[in-house]
Formats: sequence, structure tokens, C-alpha cells
Amino acid sequence: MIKTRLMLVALLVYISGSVVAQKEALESICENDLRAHLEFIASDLMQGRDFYTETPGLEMTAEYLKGQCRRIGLEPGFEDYFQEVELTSSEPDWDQTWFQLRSRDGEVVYQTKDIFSLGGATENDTITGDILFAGYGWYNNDTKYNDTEGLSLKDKIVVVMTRTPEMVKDGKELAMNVESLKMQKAVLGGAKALLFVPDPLNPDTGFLDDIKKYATGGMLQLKGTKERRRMPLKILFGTTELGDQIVKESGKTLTVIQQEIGESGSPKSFDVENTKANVQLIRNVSTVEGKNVVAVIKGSDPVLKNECIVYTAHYDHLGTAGEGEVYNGADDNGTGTVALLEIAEAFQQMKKKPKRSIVFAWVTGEEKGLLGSNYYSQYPVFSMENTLADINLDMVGRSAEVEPAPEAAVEKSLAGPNGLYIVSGKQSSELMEISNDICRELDLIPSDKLSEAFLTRSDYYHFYKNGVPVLGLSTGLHDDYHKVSDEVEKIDYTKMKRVAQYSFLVGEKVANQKKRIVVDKPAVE
Amino acid sequence: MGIAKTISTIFGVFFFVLITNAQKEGLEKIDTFDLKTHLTFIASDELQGRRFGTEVDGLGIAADYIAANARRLGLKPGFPDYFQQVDLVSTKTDASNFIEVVNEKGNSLYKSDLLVEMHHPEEPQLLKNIPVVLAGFGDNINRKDVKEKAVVVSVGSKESYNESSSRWNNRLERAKMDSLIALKPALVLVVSSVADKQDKAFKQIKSWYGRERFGLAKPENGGNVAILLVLPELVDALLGGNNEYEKYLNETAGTDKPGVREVDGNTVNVKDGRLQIPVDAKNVVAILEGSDPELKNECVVFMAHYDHLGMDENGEVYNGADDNGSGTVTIMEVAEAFAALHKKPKRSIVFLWVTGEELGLLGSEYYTSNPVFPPEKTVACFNLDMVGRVFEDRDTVWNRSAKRVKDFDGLFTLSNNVWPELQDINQKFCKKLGLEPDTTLPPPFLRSSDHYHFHKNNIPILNYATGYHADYHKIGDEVDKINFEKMKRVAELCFLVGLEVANKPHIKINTPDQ
Repeated sequence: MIKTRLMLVALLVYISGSVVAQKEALESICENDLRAHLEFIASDLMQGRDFYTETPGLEMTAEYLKGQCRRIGLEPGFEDYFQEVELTSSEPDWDQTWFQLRSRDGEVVYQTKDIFSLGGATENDTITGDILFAGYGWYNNDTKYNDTEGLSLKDKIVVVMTRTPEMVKDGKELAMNVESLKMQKAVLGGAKALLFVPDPLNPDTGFLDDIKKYATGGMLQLKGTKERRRMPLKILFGTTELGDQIVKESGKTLTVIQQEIGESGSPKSFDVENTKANVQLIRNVSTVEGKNVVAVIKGSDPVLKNECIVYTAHYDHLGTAGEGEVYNGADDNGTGTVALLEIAEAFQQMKKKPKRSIVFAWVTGEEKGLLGSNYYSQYPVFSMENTLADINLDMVGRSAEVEPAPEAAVEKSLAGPNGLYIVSGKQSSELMEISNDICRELDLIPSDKLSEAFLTRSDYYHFYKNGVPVLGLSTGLHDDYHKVSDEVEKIDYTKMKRVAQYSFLVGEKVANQKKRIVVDKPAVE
Repeated sequence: MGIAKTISTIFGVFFFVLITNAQKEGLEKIDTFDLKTHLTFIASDELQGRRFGTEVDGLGIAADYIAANARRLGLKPGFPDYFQQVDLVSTKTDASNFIEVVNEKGNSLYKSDLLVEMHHPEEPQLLKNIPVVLAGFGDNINRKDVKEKAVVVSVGSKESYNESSSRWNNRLERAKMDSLIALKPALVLVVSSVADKQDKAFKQIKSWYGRERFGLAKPENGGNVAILLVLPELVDALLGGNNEYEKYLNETAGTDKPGVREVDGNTVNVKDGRLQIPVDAKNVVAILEGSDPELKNECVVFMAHYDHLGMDENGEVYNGADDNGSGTVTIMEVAEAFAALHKKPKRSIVFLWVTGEELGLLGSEYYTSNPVFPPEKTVACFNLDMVGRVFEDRDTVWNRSAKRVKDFDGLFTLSNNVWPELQDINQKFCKKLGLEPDTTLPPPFLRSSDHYHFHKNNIPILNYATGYHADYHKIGDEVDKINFEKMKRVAELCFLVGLEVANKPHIKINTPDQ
């Protein structure tokens, strides 16, 4: 009896001792430290943490993270904490990029270099074929206006003006969702390529400039990865002048044709007879070095230490906007980046480390297509089978004054003071239960609302697709998303602290419990 | 060094038995690992040598790094966001400046940009048709002789002229210029030596003054009168013939008269002034508030400059690991030790990382003019400048210097006499740590680093340094040559001496002699 009582007391002391230890670790996550790190990471001097900036802010950020990992006392996951990520960059070679109109006997009658492709191949490409001029390339369900009525698109290079007759009439600005309907139509018709030319009445050319900047600004991808799923159609953008040359044989200019469509309300499409198109798109491919910063806390259990949970946050952002303006990306993803430092420091403070190992991975190239996390998932510290969960923090530092209405659009989804979005495939009911318990403990209101739209849109995706249960944390989108106004002043540090504490507690629980969490609903790819 | 290290380790063991809890609390925070981590960042190539005007603003990044660390340690900002903006300007020569001789009809007889501005007016100016007076070698001139005139004097003295010496005597020329400027003429023209046929001295001075210079934005002494160094050919043009000026000087040097002579007819036009560009410069200032309600209004300052030399013309980076990455990160570590104390010291502590030391002690000059605590409330200033090296054979190149780098136990501990007990406390703790303080550096070293501006303000100073080594101000001043054990000992010394000073009930500072 006395013996059991003593044991009970001993057990209580032990439990309270570990609770105190956990509480101390939890309290080491504080607003002050988050701010200290964030002000460094999100200052103008880091140049928006991107590849190709004038000064190497992305590398400098990696150096800072490495220094902090050392200071905290984490073990390096790779030599010197850096996992080299080999990337290839592909840019148009403007000297060898052209659009030619050739007569039927092969003579070049017109050539322009003012042409670019969107989302196409990363290697060299030539396209030749017959041309169909298809007005706006538009089909209106209500009026039955149809630019390609009775015409075959098959294997043709289809030329269309931007916008639609209705938009021109109403003076509406170019919209990408309208243009993408035209792309669908061209794909369904079996066209070889779709060439957009700005309609002569188009008031807004800036939009096309933005597309050009995006399409030609050096696309990055992992070296050696297979070609991304190829679009079944080449998308090209040219000038109004090119459009004029293409329709020349009709004796009219694009402006005249556009007017005629407007006045008659009927299509003016035709197959181009005299000339064929010959398009050459040559790209320069070079190698770029990226790096993930990876640190580890070894598990304390001799067997379970071979399993791990992973915390991820991307530390790259969008660079500069010209005119000296910097995308500081305080929320995206300065917040996740520095929250990971605090979570790591909290774990490191625990005298007895969790049974399983903890990996902290600051990944690169998220904004370029989740590249760093893709690479890590292929070359992880612990295999994907032994990775129990990925907790990813991406934009976790903002709050609206009130919780958004349930029906609010995704773009207006910024969480209120207690809200937290948790994107998950819910592969493990057990993990979701742990997550819910801890939300309750910290008075956080979890929301699943973003899961559907965002499951493929941040770094957790590459864990999800490898069968690893994921928790993708975010406080939601806001008006400053991907703008230069995503600044430090707008950060809610208390919110950030709570998200970091949540992350710590969930991870600690998963890493420390005897039994491995159960994956009862594996992801179906 | 093997034996020295062993002995110091033994000392260390004894020492740790004897220290108080407070001391222990702080000392535990000082370790070589942190020092190395911080220094590896601060002295990396990426920061491009921590100087103004490099492509990457490495100096700004270093400041951000120090500030982030201060915030993480929970120190209070001394200024918003820890940054004290320093009013620094870069000064360049305006290439469009000229001097012209015109006759009574206004025709140009001579026009040239061969001039050196020895003293600038506050604003750029265009002076027209200024009458000229020759004034020999500048002795015994009256105010009325030069009123509203351009006064022309030769360099040197009658004596040096008679010896045909063309040596530039800086002290003599400075004194001459000061006395002339006090007479408030419209303009002072100092003519380079007629004996210097190749204009060597003139060219040297022109290239020296032509460089970009940095300074605090403040009015220059001597008001609004420009002083220009010009060539004898200009005065020949004024006097209307070759070698006319030499003839005039021959006459003047042969008599004991001042040789004042007004120039008839011809006058001068001058455009002068400089281009000034404000520079974004900042000191990083963090504070640990004192725990005593009275004494917390006094402070102890720990200082190190965090700037260095930038890059050379081949793109090689001066990393300045020792100069003064070592002092910079040692103060970071001392700050961590103080921040860890449960019971804070009675006096406040100011941690001060200053900019622009390499450009002329500018950040520290600015701080002492705009301090957080006034000079009379600052009981001590510790300045750390190069504290990370231990003697190697190569360092014998500094054998002739009083400040050649010390061995593992040696340390330069320079102080002034404002509060002699500071040196006693220093020596007490040096002994405890097994360090051998060298207090013999001659007085010029009081002016050689940032502590000078505190010394000037009658503040007790203590300057720690390990001394000059073969890589001083060279590309080779790299992290891999740093002895982190030595740096750790300096950090411990700083902390212990600083703690005792900050807690000392009463400190009596000598009033200045003058």
C-alpha cells in the first residue's frame, strides 16, 4: 500500500515534472523573438528572397537560418545544414525566337521576333502549319455567336484576338478566365497552336506585359525531373502588327475586321490561303543552385528515433518589383520561416527530447513551383515511410478583426483573431483528433475550408502525395498577398505565437507517443 | 602556448570555485560556439566587408543582424528599432569648379580647374570680379588690407623660399590658413611652390583631397571663406607675364616687409563648393536597464565598431574577422551574459555598436554628441577593437610597434586617468582569469579608436585589444585565423569588470584638468 502510494507520488512528480518542462518549452516561443527574426528576414536588404535579385538575399537568408540553427544547437540534416537543390532555368533566346509567314513556295514574306510562348516546352520547339484566323475564337451560348462555325481547327495554328465581342462593346478589360475558355476550345478542336494578338481596341496592354514577364522571366524546375505534363496545345502571344500581317490577304486590317464584327454581330473568320506559319522558339537552359536548410533533433528512443516528423516552411519569396520596390513577404512566408526557428528552439530546450526525431526543413523555390519540398521528398533525411507527419507553415501571421463569414470567398478568407486554417488530406483521423484537441487547448478555431482548393498549392503537397499525413497551417489570404505591401507592420505576433505553439504541441505529441499514429484513410493518387 | 593554455585552464578551475552566483549565471552564457557562429556570419564574404557603398549593403545587414540578436535577448532599444541614425555625409569634389582671371573689360586671361579646395564654404558659390591682393608668405597681414579681396599667399616661409625648398609643411600651412581665414577676406588663394617645377606637391595634395571623404554633417570651422590651392601660373596671369610671381616673391623674401601689393585691373572669378550626399549610417544601441532606482540613471557602455574596409579593386573582400568582427560579436556575447542575470546590475548598461570607425571614428563621435545617458552619467566605456588574435611568427612584422599582437595570456588594457580605480578592478579580474594586462601603450593610442571620443568627454575608458598582426587591414584577416578561446576570455573579462563597475555603490570621477 505504502509502496503503491509512493509510486503514485513518484508518478505524479514525474508527470508534473514533464508538464512543467513542456510548459517551459512552450513559453519559450514568444512574440519578441518572432519579431526579432522576422525583422531581419523581411527587411529590404534581403531583396525579397528570390533567385536572380541584384544582391543575393535568398542566400543571405539561408546563411542566417544556418547561423540560428547552429546557435540553437540543432544537428545539421545535411553537411553544414545545406541540402543543395539543383535547378535548371530556362529563358527564351531572343535572337533565335521568331514567327515567320511563308508563302506557299517557302519564301519568307514576314518575320517578327516579338513573340513568346506561355506554359510551353522548356526545350527548343518549332511549329509549322496552316493558319486559321478565328476572330475572337469565341462562342456565346446565348446569342450563338460562334467564331469557328463550320471551320476545322485540326492541326492548325489558330489566330485569335483578345477579349470577346461583348467585352469590346461594354469596354471591359481583358480577363484571363475568358481567354482560357478559348484555349479549351482550341484544344478540343485539335489545334496545333493558339496565337493571341491584342485586339486593336484593347485599352489595357499592361496585362499582356505581365504575362510576358511571367512567361519569359526564367522558369525554374528541378534538374533531371521529367517534363511537366505537356499542354496539348502551344500558347503563343504576338502583336497586333503580326495579326495585321496574317489577315493581309483579306485586304483588311485587324481594326477593320474588328469593326465589321462589331457592326454586323457575325463572325469574320477565314482560313489563310497564301501563307503558312513557321514558328521557332529556342530556349537557353542553365543550372541554378538552390538550397534547403535542414536541421535535426535526434529522438531519445533507441528504436523510434529512426522515425520522424517534419516541419516545413518555404523561405523564398518574390524578389523585387523594379523601381527599388521589394516584395518583403513578411507574411509569405517570413512568418512560417521564423516560426520554425522558435519551434526548433522550444524542442531544443526540452531536457528529455521526444522519442522520435524532429526534422526542420526550410525549403526553397516554393514560389517557383514547390521545388525545394519536391526535392526534399525525393532525398529526405528519414525516408517518407518513416516520416509520420509533415507540419507545414505558410503564411501564419495575419488576423482579421473578426472571423470571416462562412460563405466568404477564398480570396477574402483571412482568419480572425482565433481562426486557423488547417489544410489536410485527413489521411489520419488520429492526427486530426490530436490537432483538434490542441486547438481547443489553445482556443484556436480550426477551419478546413481551404483544404480542397489548396491541397496541391504549398509544400505539404509533396509529402501528401508520398502518403505522409499533412497539416498545412495558414491564417488565410489577404489583400497584401503577393504585393509589396506584405510588410512586417501588419503582422499579428500573438497569432503567430499561438500557431507556433500549436505546431509545437501537435508535433511533440506525435513524436512522443508510444504508438505510431494510424493512417486510416491513405491518400488516393 | 601549450603550457600557457594548461596553466590558464588550471587557473580557470580555481577561479570557477571562487566566483559568485551572479557571475556564474552570466559566464555560463559566454561560449566559443556562439562567438564563432556570430562571427562566421558577420565576417562572411556575403557582407562584402561591411562598408558604405558596396553592391550588397553588408554594413546594413550586419546592423540588422546585431539588432535582431539584441531584440531576441530582450534588450531595450536605445533608439527606435535599435538604430541611431548618424548624420553622415559623403563629400566629393565638384568637377565643374574653376578659377578664372579676367581683365577690366571682362575678357578671360586664364581659366583652369587646377585647384584644390583646402577649405569649403558652407554652400557652393560663384564669386565674380573679386579684386586681388598679394600678401607674400602671409605674415603680418592686416584685416583692412584684405577686406573683400582675394588674398594671395605663397606656401612656405621666407626662410624655406630662400632655401628653394618645396616641401609641404602641413603644420605651417594650417596655421597660416587659420590666421588668414580669421581676417575674413573674400577668398584665400594659396600658391604652390614656384621651386616645384613639376608641381609634385600640388598633384599629391590634389589627389588626396580629390578622394571621396566621409564626415558628420556639421558646419566646418572657419566660416564661409574658401581656401584654394592654386598654381603659380595663375598669379603670372594676374600680373600679366611669365615668372612675374617669382620676381615678386624674390623681392618680398629679400626684405622684412610683408609685401602687400594690390593687383591693378585684373580680377578673379571663382566657382567652388563641394558635392555632399547624405549616407544612411547607423549605430546599433541596446540597453539593459539598471535595477537600482537611483543608479539606473548612470550607465556603463560596452562598445565595438562593426564597420570595416569593404572590398579591393579586384573584388576581394576585406572580411575584417578580427577588425572588428571580433569586438562586435564579443559585445553580443557580453550582452547575452548580462541579459541572463536574474538580478540585473544597479547601473544601466548600454551596448553600442558604432559605424564609421574606419572612416574616422564617426559613429562614436556622433554617439557622444547625442548619447542615451549624458557623459557625466557614464561611469565607464569599454571599447573592444580587435580582440581575437594570438601571436604567430608572421606577426613579427609588427616588432617595432608597441602594440604587436600578444600571446595567449597577454592583453592590451589601455585606460585614461579619469577614474584610476577602473584599471585596478581590471587588473584584479585579469589576474583571476590568468590574463596578463599590458597597460604601457603610450598616449597616442588614446586617439587611435572609438574610445577617443569618450576620453575627450572625460569619461573613464578601458580599451581591450589583442594587438596588430600580419593580416591587419589585409584580405587575410579571416575567421579561420581567430582564436575563439582568447575571445571568450576577453568576453569574460568584460563581463566581470563591467558587472563590478555597474554594481559599485559610489564612483568618484576626477574633474577635468582644464
